[in-house]
Amino acid sequence: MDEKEIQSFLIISSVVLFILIITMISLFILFKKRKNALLLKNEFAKKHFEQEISKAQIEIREETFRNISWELHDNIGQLLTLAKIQLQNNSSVDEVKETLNKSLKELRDLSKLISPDALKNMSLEQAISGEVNRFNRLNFIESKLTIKGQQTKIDSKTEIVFFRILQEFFSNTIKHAKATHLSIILNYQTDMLIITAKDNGLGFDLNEQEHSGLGLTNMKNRAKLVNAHATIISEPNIGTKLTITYKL
Amino acid sequence: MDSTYSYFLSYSINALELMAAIVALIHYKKYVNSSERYFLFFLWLTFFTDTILGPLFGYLELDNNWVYYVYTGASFLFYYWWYYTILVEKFYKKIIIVLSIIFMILYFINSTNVEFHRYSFVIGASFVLILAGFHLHQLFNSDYTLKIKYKLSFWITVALVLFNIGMIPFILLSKYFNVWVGNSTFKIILFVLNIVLYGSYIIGFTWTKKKYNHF
Repeated sequence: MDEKEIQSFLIISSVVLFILIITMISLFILFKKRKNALLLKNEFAKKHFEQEISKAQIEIREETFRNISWELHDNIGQLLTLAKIQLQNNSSVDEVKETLNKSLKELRDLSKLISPDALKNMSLEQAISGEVNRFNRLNFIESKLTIKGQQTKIDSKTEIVFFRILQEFFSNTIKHAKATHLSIILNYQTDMLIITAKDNGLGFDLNEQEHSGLGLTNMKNRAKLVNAHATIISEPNIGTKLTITYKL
Repeated sequence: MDSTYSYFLSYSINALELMAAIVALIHYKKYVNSSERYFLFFLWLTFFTDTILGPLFGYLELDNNWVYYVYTGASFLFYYWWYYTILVEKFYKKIIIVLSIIFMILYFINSTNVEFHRYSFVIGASFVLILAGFHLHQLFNSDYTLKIKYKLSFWITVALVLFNIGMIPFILLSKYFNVWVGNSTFKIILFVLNIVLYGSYIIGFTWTKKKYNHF
């Protein structure tokens, strides 16, 4: 190998090596940077998710307090008042006893329903059926829960979100819809859970702006949070239907 | 001494090709559902072309330049096709079609003169770098970035980028200095580039995980 060859070898090999090393380093730095950025973004998304879950939990709790106050006043309060009137009117002891027994039973049911441990370990079905029973007991609305297919365990955070969405729907139905019937279906398919809630109330026009107060967007966003999809269909004087689809 | 050394380097490259092909075969199950599976056949084809077909033509005193030229053309078209299947954006796919057509035209023009064969390689390699850039961009904007070392297409792209980005100046400069690249000293550069190429393949096949290879 002559001098000239050695020289060109040195030049070529150093150029090739230089380019190789520069490429490797830039690839490494680029991906490292991008990875950090993505991690940060994911961390932020996770935090946001946790916040939203907490918010839903707080709202569920607030709703529960409202229900307790309602039930104490409308149900147990009424029974106790009746007992008092019965005493004043010198009704038979048996009659008064029966009224008091009834109120005690209601009180026990309520206390069982709202104990924190019971609330924590409740499945979605139990939580919904608790609501349905309450609506029926207090004669708010005639409600029915149907479960189809093989029940599958879903994540408790997802359950919280679904329950909160349904609770909002129920509260809309009771407050605004003047409905007489409410039906809830939990349909477990092999790879899907479809939750439908339907009332036969006044309904509304989905295009009208004034219904933004009903929290429809909130329901949809909440569903999106747990990778589910919520749709609300409503027709004036026919009723409103909420469908949540969730991939198991 | 010089010739033993040169033989050793040549056979080492064949050995690297064989190793990559065997590792690809062992881990085939992990990427069977993705279009990377064709790399298994491609690596074996590379090994047979380089180890059996090329020397056989040389042994029969036929011009084996053509064997390598056909292999070069086929390999670049294979890379383009592979990127076509894994790139998602329509715009990128259109560019691949255009680049493939340009490459084929220049490839046939260059085929008229053995001296020009190297330019087909340079053009083909430059296009591979462009497509590799597209793929890296796509990976960049996906969640794969978090677990990039498990993604086989990333390692194949790294292999192609590093090999071709080294080969282009190597070929152009050796032409410029008018030196023969078959020379044993220059074979070292070729050998190093092949270590990088097949090393990246081997790392990729070994590290990849099944759930990261489904397109």
